[in-house]
Amino acid sequence: MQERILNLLSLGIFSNLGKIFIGLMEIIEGIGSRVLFLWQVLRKIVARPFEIRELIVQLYLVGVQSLGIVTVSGFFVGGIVAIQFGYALNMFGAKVYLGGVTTSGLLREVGPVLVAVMITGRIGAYIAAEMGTMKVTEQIDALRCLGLDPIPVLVVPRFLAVLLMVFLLTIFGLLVSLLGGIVTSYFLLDVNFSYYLVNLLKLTTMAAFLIGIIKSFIFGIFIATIACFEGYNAEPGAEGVGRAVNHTLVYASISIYMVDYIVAALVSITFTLAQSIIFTIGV
Amino acid sequence: MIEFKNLYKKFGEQPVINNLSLLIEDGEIFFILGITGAGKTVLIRMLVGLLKPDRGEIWLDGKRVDRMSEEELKELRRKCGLIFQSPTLFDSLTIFENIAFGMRRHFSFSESEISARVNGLLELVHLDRELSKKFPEELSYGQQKRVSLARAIALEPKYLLYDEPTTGLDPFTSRQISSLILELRQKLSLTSIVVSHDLESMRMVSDRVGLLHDGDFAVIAKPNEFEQSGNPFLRRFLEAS
Repeated sequence: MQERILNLLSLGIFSNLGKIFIGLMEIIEGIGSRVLFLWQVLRKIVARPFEIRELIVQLYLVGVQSLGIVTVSGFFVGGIVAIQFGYALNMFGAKVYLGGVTTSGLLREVGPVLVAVMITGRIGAYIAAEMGTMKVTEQIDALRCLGLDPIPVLVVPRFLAVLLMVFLLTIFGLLVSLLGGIVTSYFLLDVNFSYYLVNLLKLTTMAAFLIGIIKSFIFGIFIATIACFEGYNAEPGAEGVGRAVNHTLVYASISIYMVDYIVAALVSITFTLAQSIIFTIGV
Repeated sequence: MIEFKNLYKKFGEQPVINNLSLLIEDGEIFFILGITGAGKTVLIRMLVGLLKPDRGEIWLDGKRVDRMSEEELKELRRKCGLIFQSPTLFDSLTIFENIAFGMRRHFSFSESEISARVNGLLELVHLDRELSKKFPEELSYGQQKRVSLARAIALEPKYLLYDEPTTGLDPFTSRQISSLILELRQKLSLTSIVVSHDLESMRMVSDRVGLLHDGDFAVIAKPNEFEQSGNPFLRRFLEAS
């Protein structure tokens, strides 16, 4: 009896280990297929004829039609960050530094992440749904039957539009969020414009701005790849399209937070290392 | 000329095409009849490389299709138009843009030439020019099927493959589509494969008919001889139709 239980127990452990192993393999396979898809897209960016008309349409759909949502969310995000830092700084009597602290936080972290998440919801979902519907209604096969390759015709313009627009919308969103911070500081936190701007220029570094911009470029690659991949490989039926949209939102959001974490960690490590080197040299 | 040699294709454990061989001459309209799931669509999808056979050979104009690369298949698909069962029009584009889609990318026509050609194609499939500004969703199902036909012939193919061209249409529109298949063969000297279970259409358009059953043709004959065949499955198929 004891032997039998032990056998069952051991089988259970092996079964669970097996399931974990299979799960890990599926994750690796999933990442691999997306990387291969990205490589396929990158290789075909230079394919001729370039779909300039489609790219313009997508730039309009992705960029211009997202301006409203980025403006509203950017303004309020700037305001929220200013309020949070305002209360904290006030406790130490350092409210005059609000402009610098708020702007630095917005440029490095909150701004790029929030704009990227907004675009994932607004554009990533749209592209996954559009391409997924084209896949399940055989429009992609119809395109193949016209002697065309769907990657340069359909995927490349969408990929480039998302990449470029995440980048530009992030810059735009950051500017609007700065405005939100200034307005909120003035009306709600009683911080003078001039104090705000002086400290903004004093405490905000070019590095903070560059980090935000680099992050937005990486976010763009992730959002564009995931949305296009999920739509292009949607399973048949309405359920398949729904799943493609759902996967896009989940995977792109997780990727954004992970990239943000990794970049923040790398910057922090680099900064610490640089400081210690300077300290050593100085000593 | 199209030739299938000892073709075999299975999905899961189930063979759908089983040791099938067929030769279709230039200019012919070959009609493939069969029940749902008999493998009719699979056969024409393999011909344009959307599906690969597990075994056997597919030849088109002396070139082996089943071994073609994706680049070679792109060239093949230009001269081998496939009209899907559902119209598969690009729903974000107007009818004009749908028909001009392939033309813009394969030929170097000016805008006025494209416009003239699109109007000519609309006329050829008996559609009003005014429809060119509309979107697919604004057209009836029968009109959408005609547009998808116009889009396929815009690339000046040599072969046309029709997948259930009359399915989902009323008898009057079905007859119009069948007439159109004949008309296109006459005007454009096309070789056609029509996949359907519409006997009326078969009687109207076909030069030869094949009844697909258990992965192979149970009967291949001229339409007048076809219905006289004593094949037991064909008898059951005709009685049920």
